[in-house]
Amino acid sequence: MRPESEGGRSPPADLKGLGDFFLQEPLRHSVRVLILLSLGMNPHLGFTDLLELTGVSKGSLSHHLDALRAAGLATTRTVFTLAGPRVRAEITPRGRTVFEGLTRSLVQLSARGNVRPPAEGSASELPPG
Amino acid sequence: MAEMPGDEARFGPAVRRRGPTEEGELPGPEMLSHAAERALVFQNFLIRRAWGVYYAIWSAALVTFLVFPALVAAAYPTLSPPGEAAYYGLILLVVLLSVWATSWAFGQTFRALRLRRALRHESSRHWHLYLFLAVGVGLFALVFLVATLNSFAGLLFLDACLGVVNLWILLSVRDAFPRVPPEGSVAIGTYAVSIVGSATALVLTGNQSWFGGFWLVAIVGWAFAALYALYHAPEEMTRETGV
Repeated sequence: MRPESEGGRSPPADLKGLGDFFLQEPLRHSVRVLILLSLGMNPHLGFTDLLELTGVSKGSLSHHLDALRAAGLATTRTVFTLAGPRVRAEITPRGRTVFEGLTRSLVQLSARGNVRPPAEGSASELPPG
Repeated sequence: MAEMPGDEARFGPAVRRRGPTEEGELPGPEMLSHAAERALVFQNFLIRRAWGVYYAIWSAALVTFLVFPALVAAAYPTLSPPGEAAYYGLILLVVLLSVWATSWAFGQTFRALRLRRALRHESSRHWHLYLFLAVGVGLFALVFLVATLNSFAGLLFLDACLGVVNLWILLSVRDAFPRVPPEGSVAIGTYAVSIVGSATALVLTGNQSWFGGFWLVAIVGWAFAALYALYHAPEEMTRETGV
């Protein structure tokens, strides 16, 4: 049984759904959420593309991909291209379900006004740091 | 936040400012929206690259469909059976490549739309996308059918169909990017010039060679659009998502 929010009222379904996603250890990290969102929008992404996307080091990216793979959300495989062997990441059916859920949560949160559209050039919209 | 030495120097301060997402960010709506925003910035880069390949392949396809047959006919008035097989094999290869490039570019656009609309607070217009997809596929089939007629009326009908295809491309480019990029305007503009020019020339002169001649404008325009898109695609990493 899930804990209820303060005041004994259940949180709205969209926030509850989102909470369920973030209870999963691999999704408690923003870089993994970012990778999963991008893999959900593309049939596959190369390791170099993912480095460009996340801006993290190669070792860190490998660690995040390992975590997603261990959770059954993504797979990686080596493919042979004209430019030589390349590592390619793909989303799994389970990862696809999570991606759809995250997108649905975002749509619902957006409809409720819980996600503010970032104002162009507004410093208040930037992540701290 | 994780430092990204090099990225700021390569892509300007916007990359540093807009992502990647916060390493220490707590899981929740804010973290999800930051990740989605960053994913869309990257997706814009991938989409622009895919459209660059789309323009390149269709430019080559127009050469294969319009210029290549005339060159072959001039050089070899009668083709031997192996030559004929090679000729039609090449045409088939180009058709397959064109279909692949179209589905790749449009597929990447469609897959990014839901996320982008969620962040833009827009309602879903998926029905309109599926309608355009169905109309587009139908029109491509019609175009190939009519092209084989090779008559005055057939060519005019072909131009009319291509006009609708151009409108379809325009709407898709507008869906694909927060702002229509310069190469999109060039590609759509030169395509429109080719359609209007070839139809007008056909009606005024009745000469079919003018029809093909005007399509050289689209071939050059799309080749330029391809090079421009592929060269400038990394700039998408520094742009606002428009969300």
